Amino acid sequence: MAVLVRIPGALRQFTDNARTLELDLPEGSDVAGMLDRIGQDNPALKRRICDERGALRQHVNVYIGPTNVRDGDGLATAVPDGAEVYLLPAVSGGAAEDSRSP
Amino acid sequence: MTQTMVLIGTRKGLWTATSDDDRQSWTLRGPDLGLNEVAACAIDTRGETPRLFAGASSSHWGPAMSYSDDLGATWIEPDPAPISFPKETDAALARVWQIMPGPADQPDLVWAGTEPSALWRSEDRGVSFTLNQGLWDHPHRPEWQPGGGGQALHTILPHPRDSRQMHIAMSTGGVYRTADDGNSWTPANRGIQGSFLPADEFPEYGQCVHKVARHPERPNQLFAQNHGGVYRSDDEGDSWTSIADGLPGDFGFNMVADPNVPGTVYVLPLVADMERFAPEGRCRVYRSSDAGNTWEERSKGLPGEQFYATVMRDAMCADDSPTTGIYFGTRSGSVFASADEGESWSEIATHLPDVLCVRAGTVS
Repeated sequence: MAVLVRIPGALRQFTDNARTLELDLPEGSDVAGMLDRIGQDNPALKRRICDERGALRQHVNVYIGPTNVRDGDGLATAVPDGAEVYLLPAVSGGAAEDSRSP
Repeated sequence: MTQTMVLIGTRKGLWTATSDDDRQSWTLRGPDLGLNEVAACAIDTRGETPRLFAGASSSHWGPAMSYSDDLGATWIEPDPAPISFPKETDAALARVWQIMPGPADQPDLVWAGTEPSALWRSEDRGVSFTLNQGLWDHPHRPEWQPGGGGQALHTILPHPRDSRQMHIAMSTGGVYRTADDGNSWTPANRGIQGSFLPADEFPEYGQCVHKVARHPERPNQLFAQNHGGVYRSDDEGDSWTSIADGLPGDFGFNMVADPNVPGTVYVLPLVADMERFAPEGRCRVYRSSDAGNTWEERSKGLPGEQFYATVMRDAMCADDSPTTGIYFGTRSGSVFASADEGESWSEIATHLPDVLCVRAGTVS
């Protein structure tokens, strides 16, 4: 099945500036499987989205259409045929760094 | 052409300062590595081509480790990720805190320290690293607690003559040493007070050590700047004695050993843990030429008033020139350099993002 992944500007350095990735995934794939597929061709891009445990980074969101997968089944959220997937940096992030000593 | 290079890791990228005239004038270039914070960097001059290392991380996109073989013109992030916690640890890399090239006779050996506290060894010059399992499985691990910057292994001191020996330091946790190539680790903190602890006790481990240094020709002698306390060990960390007398404060983050002169060290004292400012608002480096028995103030060319910037633990270093150069970068984005063992200083960069780490060396 075909899935279109939209790449945010900050990550296009990992896609030769491509704005989208077209993936061919097996029927019944979920977000974890989709990210594994991205990592096969582009491991550095996958590392920006999730850590080595496979967990989504705290300030990165994955949307399947209009739905944040954090509001669904997380990495087990189904990715339907023809889905449009958005990888989005959250507007949060950065504030915790200010507390670092000294 | 031979030049002196200073890597300046900041909250928002990496800058390089280079000097072609024995550190009299500097050219600043950057930033590299985008908006990533660069908490660790290194200059490895052992191979035919100098290799620069940077441990960078983004609050959104996570950590990464890169190297450059063209003095920073381009950076390579290897695949797979050089540092990646094995699945069975159920841990994830938060930040690279230290990158330490190995001895000259092992040009492909590189060490790294990370958050969470872990030691990593590379035998392919930093392209891939293996977790030190002995330290990761240490029974003390559950009791190590994160300092203000995170639970980090921030200091790596390979023994200059015996590859089986090494000291490492963590905040918190303290100093640990191995004599069997990293298979087992023992705490080495006897005599170091935990002044932040409820009863000011002297625990076996758990100290908040900020930085440890030593001279390669005198490996038995170690110097430590702790979270309250400046110490020296003359027995490879078996015991420590205070060398804070003569300093305007025993709090600070930096400890740099002069690579040319055993027993000469440099620190940047702050007033106290609850008053993290240079004493009297004056920027002063303190140098000891007698292993911490006495200290001399060195401030020629440094801000003499209204100086309230602080310096992160790895934002002070020495270069490898015959006459030692000393460098430090501040959280207010200035980098100061001395080409004469701290006697006089000049500001070689200003208005950068807050500086997290500084490393200097001679490259060609």
